[in-house]
This record gives sequence, structure tokens and C-alpha cells, in this order.
Amino acid sequence: MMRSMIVRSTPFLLGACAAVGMWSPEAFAQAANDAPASAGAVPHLAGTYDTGSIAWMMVSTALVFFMMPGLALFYGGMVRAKNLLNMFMLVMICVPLIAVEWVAYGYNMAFAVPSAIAFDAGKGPDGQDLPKHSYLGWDPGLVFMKSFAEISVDGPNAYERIVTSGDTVEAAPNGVPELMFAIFQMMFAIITPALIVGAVAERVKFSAWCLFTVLWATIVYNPVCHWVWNVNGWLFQKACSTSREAQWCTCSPACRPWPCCSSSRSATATRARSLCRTASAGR
Amino acid sequence: MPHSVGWTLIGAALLMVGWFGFNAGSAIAVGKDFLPVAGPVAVLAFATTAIAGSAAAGAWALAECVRFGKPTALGLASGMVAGLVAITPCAGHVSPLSAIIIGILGGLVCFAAVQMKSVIGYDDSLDVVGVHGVGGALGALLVGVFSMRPVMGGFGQLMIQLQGLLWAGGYAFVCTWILGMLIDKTIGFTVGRDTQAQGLDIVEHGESAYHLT
Repeated sequence: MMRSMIVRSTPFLLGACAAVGMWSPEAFAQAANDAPASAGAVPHLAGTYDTGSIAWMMVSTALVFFMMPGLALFYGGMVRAKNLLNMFMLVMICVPLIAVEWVAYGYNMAFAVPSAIAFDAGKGPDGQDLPKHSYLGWDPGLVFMKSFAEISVDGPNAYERIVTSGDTVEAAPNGVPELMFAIFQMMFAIITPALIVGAVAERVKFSAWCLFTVLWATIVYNPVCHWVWNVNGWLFQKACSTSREAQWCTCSPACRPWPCCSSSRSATATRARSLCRTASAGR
Repeated sequence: MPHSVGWTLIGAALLMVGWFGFNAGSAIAVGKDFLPVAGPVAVLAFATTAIAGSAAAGAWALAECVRFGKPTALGLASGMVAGLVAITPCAGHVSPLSAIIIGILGGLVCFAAVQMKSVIGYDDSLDVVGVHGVGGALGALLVGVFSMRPVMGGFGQLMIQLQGLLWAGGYAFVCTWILGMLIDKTIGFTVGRDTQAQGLDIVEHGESAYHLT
């Protein structure tokens, strides 16, 4: 009875984790708040790096990773002495497992712009088609982060894409290479299953935990992450379309297709349902 | 049974250090060229993270004083984490004063939630549901109340937050349940009573953290 209760309690946790970090209007907020600056006029919009931001992102990424030993100690102190190492192991095993998963396909599922599963969102108040609601992302070019290896040193920036504030398309390009963003997000993906450990501490089988971690990241973390943080995600879109200030995301797909992470950029560009900020009138 | 509360305190402190990167880093940029967007967001997130975590630690300790007569170190650590969890969805959106309120609410509500564990009777070794689950849900809702940018908080935004919370939490709940059941039915999710009695360190890893003679 008690054992099955453990299994039953993990979902709470998971809901917790998902809700905690993810459901925040931050990403679209920043995009919406950004003035419709003309691309090219401002250095950072022309595709140059912002050294300060990149440096901060590197430090932040390291800081988030620093939460792993913090979490191991936090939980470790609360278990009995005979289970301490197991506690550390349960937390730290998430690092190798999820890091590889994230590079292989996790980032792809969560942050790819082309959608694997999408549904019509209906029409807006003005009769215009709303952007489709995406439930899962997939871009063949992002498998094992292949696209990030295609560096063109002569280009305006080495990694082609410069990411935006909290999402990967459009919005406000801010001079941080997407690879940096991808690794920052990797740390989030790593620490989320590690948080679950506290609920099953002193009970769970190590092999079962390893299996659970990878599967949970795949079927729960990546999709929910996509819903909330990807610009095409359906919860992200919902927040946009109901927020008066965020009309930027309800414009027509005709404007400014974003070049995607793929070897065939033009092909993916047409697939990318661009959310164009510049076309939102009155801003 | 906590075997080393000191480690838990150190761990909580390390978590708070890392949490600055977690929240302030989520602004993705800090350059002044990006005003009024990234710079202030990163700073605001940084500030509210510090404020709420601190306020919650105090609130939890105070709640323990009122309820049990003595503040505990374990409570201080748990309260700090509860406040950090609660402020995470709100970090870039609320004022410093709101951060104090969110921190105090997070500390008190999570304290109450942890006390409910024995009443409801679910199994949760280290109070993850009470601290992270309840704290996270609370923060996700409070951002709809206290948000000052880019949208003002209010009933409408609260409903949006609630919707997101229920969908994300519901999906996660169902999928995790199914996943847990599948693993339990195939390779087994938990160790047996003998293993629990002997300790997982020796059985699972063949090592021991302490060698006391």
C-alpha cells in the first residue's frame, strides 16, 4: 500500500515542477514589451553578439548546475545515514541521463519551431486565423543538435541564430547564440527530475529510477516545456491571445518567416509559423 | 529521519545561490541596449528571488514558533526553498513588496501543507509535494495577482494562470501515474523491506557514506 502510494505521489511533484518553472508569462512578456525596433538599425538586431549577456548566461547556466549538489545535500541531510550515498546518486544520475537525452532529442521536442503535432486554434476576434496550437516540436536538423555544428565563421554570427528572450523565434533577438540558450535549458531539464527524488527517497530502486528519469523527461517534461515556453506552444499562445498587450503573436504567418535550425533553411522557413511582432499595429 | 540537518542547511544555501542563475538567467540577456526588456527583468528577477527566499525562511520559522514553540534549522531550510519555489514563476513580474508577500505566503502555506501530510496520509519522504508542489502552484497563481509587467495582475490573468496550472499539472499527473505504474508492474519501482532495513547505500551501490567504528 505504502509503496504504491509513492508512485502515486510522484505525479504531484511532477505537476509541481512543471507548474513552478514553466507557467510564467515571462517569455511572451518580454517579446511583447519590446519596442518594434527596425531590424538592422540596432547592432544587436543585426545579428551581433552581446558579450555581457553571453557572459551572464554562461554564469547562470553554471549556477543552475550548482543547484544539483545543493539539492543532493539538501535531500541528503534529511535521509538516514544508511541511504545518503543513494540519495546523492539519485540526484546526480540525472546529469548524464538528461544531458544526453536533451542533446539527442529533448531540446528538439521542446524548442524546435516546426511543430510535430498542432491543431487549429480557430479565429481571433477580428476574424483572422489564430496561429495553430502546437503540442510538440520537431526539426530533423536539431537531432543531436546537428545545426549548431554548422558554423559559418563569415556570417554575421557564428551560430546563425541568435535567440530571443525565453523562446527561440522572433520576439526580441538579444545577442545570445541559441546554443547558449539550449545548454541553459538543459540545466533546467536536468534539475526537474532531480527534484522528484525527494518524494521517492529511501524507497526507489536505482535501476527503476534511471528508467523513470529518461521516460519522464521524454513524455512529460519535453511536451509541457514545449506548451509553455516555445512560442508556438499552445499554452504560450493562449496566454498571448488573451493578453491585450500581446497582440504581436496573433499576426499573419506571412510576415518574416524565421530561418530554422536546419540544413535546408528555406524549406523550414516556410514551415515555421512565424509570429511576427513587427506587424502588430499600433505598437 | 534527518541524519544531518547541517547538510540540509548547506544544501538549501547552495540552492539559493544557484537559484539566482535559475531566475535571473531566464531573462536571457542583461544588456542595456535591450531596455526596457532584458536588463530590468534580470535585475528584478534577481532581487525578488533574494527577497522572497529570505522572507519565506523567516515566515516558516515563525510559524514553527507559533505552532510548536521552537524554530528548527530544518524548518528554516525548508522555508527558504519554499519561498524560492513560490517566487520562481513571479520573479520577473512583481515588485519587491509583492515579493515579500509572496515569500511569506509561500512559507506559511507550504508549512501548513507539510503538516497536512500526516492528515491525508500520502507517502512523500522529504515533503516534496508540500514544498515544491504546493509552493509552485501557489507561485504560479500569485503571479496572476501581483504581476505588474507586462500585464497587470487581476482576475482575468489569475484565471489564465489557473488554466495553465491545471493543464500542465493534470497532464503531468496522469502521465507520471501511468509511467510509475508501468515501471512498477515490469521491473518494480521500489525496493523490498529487507533492502530498506539494510540501507540502499550497501545494497544498491556497495558503498557506505560513513564508517563509524
